[in-house]
Amino acid sequence: MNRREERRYVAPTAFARWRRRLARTVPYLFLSLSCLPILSMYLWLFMSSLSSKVLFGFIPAEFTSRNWRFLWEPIQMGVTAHMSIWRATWNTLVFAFSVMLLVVLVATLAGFALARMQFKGRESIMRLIIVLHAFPGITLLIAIFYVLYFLTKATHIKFLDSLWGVALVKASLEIPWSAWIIKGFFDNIPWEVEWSAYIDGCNRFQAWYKVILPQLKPGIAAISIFSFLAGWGEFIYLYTFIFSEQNQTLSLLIKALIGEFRFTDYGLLAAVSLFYIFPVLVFFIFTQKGLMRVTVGGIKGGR
Amino acid sequence: MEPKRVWRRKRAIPFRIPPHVPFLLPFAFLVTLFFFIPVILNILLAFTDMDFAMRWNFVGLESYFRFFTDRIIPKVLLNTVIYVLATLAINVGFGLVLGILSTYYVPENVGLLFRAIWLLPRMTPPVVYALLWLWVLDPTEYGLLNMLIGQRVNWTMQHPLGVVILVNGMVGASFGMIIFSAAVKSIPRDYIMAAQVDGASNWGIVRRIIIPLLRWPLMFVTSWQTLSLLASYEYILLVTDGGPFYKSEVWSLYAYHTAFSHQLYGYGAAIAMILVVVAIIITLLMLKIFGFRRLMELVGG
Amino acid sequence: MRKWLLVLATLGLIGVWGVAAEYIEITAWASGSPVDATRCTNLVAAAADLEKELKAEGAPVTKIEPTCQYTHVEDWAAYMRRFRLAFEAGQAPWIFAVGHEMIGELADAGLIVPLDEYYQKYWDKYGLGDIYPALIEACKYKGKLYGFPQDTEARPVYFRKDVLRKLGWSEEEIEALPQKVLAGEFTLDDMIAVAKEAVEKGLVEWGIYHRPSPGGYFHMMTVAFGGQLQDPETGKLVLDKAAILKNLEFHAKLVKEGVTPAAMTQTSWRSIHKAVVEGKVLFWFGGTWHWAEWQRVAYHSELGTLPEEYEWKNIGFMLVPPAEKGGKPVTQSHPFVYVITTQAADPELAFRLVALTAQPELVAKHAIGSGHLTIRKTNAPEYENWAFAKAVTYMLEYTSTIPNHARWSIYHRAVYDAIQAVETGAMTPEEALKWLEDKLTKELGDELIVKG
Repeated sequence: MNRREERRYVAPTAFARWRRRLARTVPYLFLSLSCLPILSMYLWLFMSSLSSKVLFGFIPAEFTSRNWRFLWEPIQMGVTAHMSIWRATWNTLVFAFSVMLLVVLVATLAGFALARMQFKGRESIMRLIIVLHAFPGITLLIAIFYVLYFLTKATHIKFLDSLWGVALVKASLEIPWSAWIIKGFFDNIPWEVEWSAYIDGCNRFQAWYKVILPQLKPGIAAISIFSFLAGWGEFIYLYTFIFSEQNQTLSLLIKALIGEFRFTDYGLLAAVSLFYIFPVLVFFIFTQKGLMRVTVGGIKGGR
Repeated sequence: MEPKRVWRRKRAIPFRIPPHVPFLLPFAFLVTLFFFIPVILNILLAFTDMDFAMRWNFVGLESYFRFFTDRIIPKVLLNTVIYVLATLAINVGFGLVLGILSTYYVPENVGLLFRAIWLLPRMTPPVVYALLWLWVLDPTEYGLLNMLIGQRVNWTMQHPLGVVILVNGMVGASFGMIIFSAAVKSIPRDYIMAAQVDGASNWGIVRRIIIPLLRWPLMFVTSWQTLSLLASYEYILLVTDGGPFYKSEVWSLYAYHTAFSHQLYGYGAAIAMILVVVAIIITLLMLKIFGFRRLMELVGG
Repeated sequence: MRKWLLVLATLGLIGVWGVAAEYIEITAWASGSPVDATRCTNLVAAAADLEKELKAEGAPVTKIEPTCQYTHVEDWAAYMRRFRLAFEAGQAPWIFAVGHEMIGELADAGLIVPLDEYYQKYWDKYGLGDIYPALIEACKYKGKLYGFPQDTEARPVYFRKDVLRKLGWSEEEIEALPQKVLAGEFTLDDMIAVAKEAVEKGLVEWGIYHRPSPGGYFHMMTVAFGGQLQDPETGKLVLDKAAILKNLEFHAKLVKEGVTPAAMTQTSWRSIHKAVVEGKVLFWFGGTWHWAEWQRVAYHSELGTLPEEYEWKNIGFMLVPPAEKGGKPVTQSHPFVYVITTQAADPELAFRLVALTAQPELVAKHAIGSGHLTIRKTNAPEYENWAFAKAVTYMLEYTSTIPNHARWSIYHRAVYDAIQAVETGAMTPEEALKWLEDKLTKELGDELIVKG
């Protein structure tokens, strides 16, 4: 109390005011500085994709569209060419959409049961989900090869060297987390809404489909975007389980291009990368707030 | 379901599929297929000496003996410890600073902007993120770092482990940041106001009120990140590939290289097996320490 | 009838002409440098000939459709993994083009079929006696032939004539350099000394470059120091400690003298080629195929692809200089072969297709286009007139190959690792040798003979 009284009577000197202003700007300064390396990386990506020469890393000296020529002609590799970017893009889209569809379907079904039904073992399944989410599936790569191998043998459907097969693996790793998120959304839908559906004569599936699903849109949007992006950016599973060139995705193509053009043609690499991360940037800019809410742990790996 | 049958066999209890089963079936199927079966397969594989020939040739504990006589292993273990601890320090420390600064010290929308920027590396596909670093660390005068210091330093060769720590730290810090900022925001405004009325400085509030309240999130971020750092190698594979000469090779990457580069699948599985056991232990410990409910809250952000 | 008819014969190309055609799909994988795509296209070209042959024999085949996947390989380990996993998944191609040294590993794993039977059957028909016996010998593993030669080469040391001129060498001195190497007058140490001089005078950025990734070069240097890689009698791998130590010390010296970057093994191929074609490096431990690669891939930032006249004017090639005065220079050949996998529905047909790629025109096309050497004694006129081949063929007298052994990959990788450790300063040559011995004795067991 005393100290407070004292403060009130001492007129702030210029120095004290300056100090307080400084104290207020320090957090901004620190945060801005901390963001600088990140921003400079992306700025470089943008600038060098547009120019044949960059000064000090960021200032484009000569603008050119040369770096983007991969859009209309395949990138030459001696007398042959790397695969067409559009084929890779199509593969990436197929892969990402497969992951997304699987995740949304399976997670929504599971999330519904976990949120809305009472049954023995429900608690244990939730526990299991946490454990699975924390568990590093990536350590099991060798064994997963054999799972896909046995699946191929058993069903005569290609699971190896197939985008669909790898999508199944990727989706499975994303599903525990997504089921968790979507369960939270189910929890927020009042029971009464569901009851009214039953009173109207719906069975559980109809209730799920007609009444609950529409209310779940934000949740579904969130896990869709997340699983789509997870599929879009996927590298290591594809790198290990895709053997033929026609199944390569953008991440594999870029990995090959980095191996070849590193040190010599950053302009090309920057342009291809920018092309690749375009959907990521779009989602990032337009769905920031939503993403922030469900981001944590949403993507696993080296984090 | 079918009343006729029930009528006919009076003693038989009518079997009804519990309503939750169809909903959980796909989930259970995939989890079994890609979590449980792989764990079992990995255990089996680790007892074989499977190599390029890919024969299931069971040799008992040979791969594990090999693990203890492998001359690279001590180096790899040391790298792993340094890598995990140092990255953890960045992830937790920097995440804490960012989390508190962006919520307590600046207005909400400004904080949101900064947090969004920090999330960018996490959202970026790994190959592109790796490319950004390869450019920053490029040994020629075109690399960003070399441009800044005006010298030609080959960073990935001279400081491979440092590079790996930095690369992972920049992605990892955002995890702590999000958890901590959510926790700070959930602290009742009254606590902080009361302290302000008492004339506590900002720093005092952070030290006396905020950090003590962040105890659980801190522990959570630490344990969670330990686990994911132990298992992660994607960025390392892309940036240094463990080199030069195993200087940045960590445990999980060594398992990957052993299996998929040297094609020693059995030995690779044994190396991974030890990691799997460690991962299971840490996860169970987390469940035990935090308790299920708190863990759910923490994971939920 | 024949097995392939059951498996792959199917009705295709109906419609337009309303004619039912039986076609066979033959799948293949090939790989190599950016200009080695003829390893694939030659198969496709040979398919037309095979088709004619089959028709002449009255086989009910109207179409052979080879699908060949060509990969420009930067990382051989990753490439072999892809093949291995594809095979396990039942998705292996019929024909696989690899370095001959992979035969041991592939054969032991039961992935490829022995071809002796077909060699005998088609020896006269396809005139296989015209193929250099040494190359067929390189396909032999445990007494059986598993591969069919595709090409071979020599691995010379390239030098920049323009840099030597700037160093004050006369035109005669420059032209005499390969002869001096042959005569044992110009040694590896002399080479380092010249390279150092050029670096110190600021004429080049680096004096000597070698390949960045695992490859034959690292073993060629063991041979250059008088070492042995395989025991000719038992076929076991040899760890020749004295020679390997010299090899390690040589690489340590390269870095210590400042002529080779310590990060040599972390440089990309493209930047190496760029530096060599732009004259920023004096000596380059390359291969004959680079001569063609520089002509066809735009590595030079101003000239793009190099005209051959530019190469003759500015780039020379010589054998790997001997380690000591009066010693013997060396080079290395790495015969590339087609192997036929056990998943090929009709190995005989695959063999015939592969054998048809040995026709002089196709051999010449691949050789000239990719800078490789012929596998035949008699060749198409365009090959006979090819100046570069004439200029390097003498090197084959000094050549050797790497062994065919089931555990070669382990040895191969470990030697590379040791050299990388020495160059990057992670280990001294002695430490690296000790590490290597420990690792190889443990992993190869009695498949390894330790010498010295």
